[in-house]
Amino acid sequence: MVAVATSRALGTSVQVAVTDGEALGAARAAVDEILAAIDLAASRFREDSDLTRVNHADGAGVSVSRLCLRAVQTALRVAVMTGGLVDPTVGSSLEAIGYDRDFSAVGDAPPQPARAAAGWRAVEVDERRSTVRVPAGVHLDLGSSAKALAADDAAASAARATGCAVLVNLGGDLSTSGPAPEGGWEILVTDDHGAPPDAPGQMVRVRGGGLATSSTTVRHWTQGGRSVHHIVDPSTGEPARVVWRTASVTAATCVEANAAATAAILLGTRAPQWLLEHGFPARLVDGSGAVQHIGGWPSEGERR
Amino acid sequence: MPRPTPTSLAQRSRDEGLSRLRRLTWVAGIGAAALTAVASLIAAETIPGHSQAAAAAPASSSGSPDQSGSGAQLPSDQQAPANQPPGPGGGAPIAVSGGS
Repeated sequence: MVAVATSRALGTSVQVAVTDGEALGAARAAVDEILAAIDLAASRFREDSDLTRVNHADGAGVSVSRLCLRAVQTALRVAVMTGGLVDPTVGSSLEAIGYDRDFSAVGDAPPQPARAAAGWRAVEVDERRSTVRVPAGVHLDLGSSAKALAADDAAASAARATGCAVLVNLGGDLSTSGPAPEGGWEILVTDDHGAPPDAPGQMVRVRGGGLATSSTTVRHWTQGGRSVHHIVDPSTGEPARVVWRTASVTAATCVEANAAATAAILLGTRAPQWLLEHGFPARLVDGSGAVQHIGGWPSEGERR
Repeated sequence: MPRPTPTSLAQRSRDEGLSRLRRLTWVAGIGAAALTAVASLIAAETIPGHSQAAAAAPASSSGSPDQSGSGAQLPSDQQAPANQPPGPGGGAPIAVSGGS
């Protein structure tokens, strides 16, 4: 019998599901510990986080926790994996379009010129000394990759702590660990992770690995009267043109799924080919709501 | 019985030396092959998979070679399954995956 607990962390919803109801408390404790650690390591909005110290070091190298180091390395690997599309140096670009504080406090932002990202190659990581350095004025945003890393770590940690199968859902980015329940984990894939269970979308079953969804429909605001969203093209500093409003991807890990989903939004019309070439099953929803299933993603279970 | 001459003694000694060298070479070859097999098995058991991204991602400095368009899979701390598409669902959802 699957038991589920919900809470909030990292500025989004947290869901922990276990196949042994008695293990739910231990699973939650394991997940909470991971989330607290990643928040302290990688939050762009906490004054005491490792990442904030890196971003405001005026070009000096900063000694960081091993977890922060790992989160930065993960973000750099995501950048390599996506050919530089999903780039951690978009922090400055996001600030320029008004996303310079916790999203709950972002309002209509004053117009500012877009700011292209410096590029992931500007980031220097010294693994032996556990230091990270970015040029003065370059700010990192580990946003999606750190959240996905936290989901992977949390699911694995909770499964180790409880000995049962665990699903961790951080704002729509899911990671699983341990043998899935019979038939798989039942998931609704849709535009908004906060949607009710009967919302339009597609029902799928996941047996392992990660499932992540990137969308332009949820985290958006206005800047000088124009609508902007948080998925930024690093080459321009502008929000990606909306060809696909939502991309959902399954992969071996949540980090990979999240990277591929975000890359799909940024790739626009080139996304289906890229996803196929790199072996990522995906569900893409265009601006009108039309759906494409890629790479073995099932077509059954769509509902409007 | 003829007495061995210094020349025949030297030839016998040389032949025995060459024979020992051949045996040693053979044993060394077998040993090297066995060690290679053991090392391969250990590597296969302990490394989840090769990743171009892992090899290329900067570990200690910036300025890695150009990786544009690489698209390799990421390494994982734990053994992870390959990219599997989900199956069709239909029951009550345990979780919702959507944008946030």
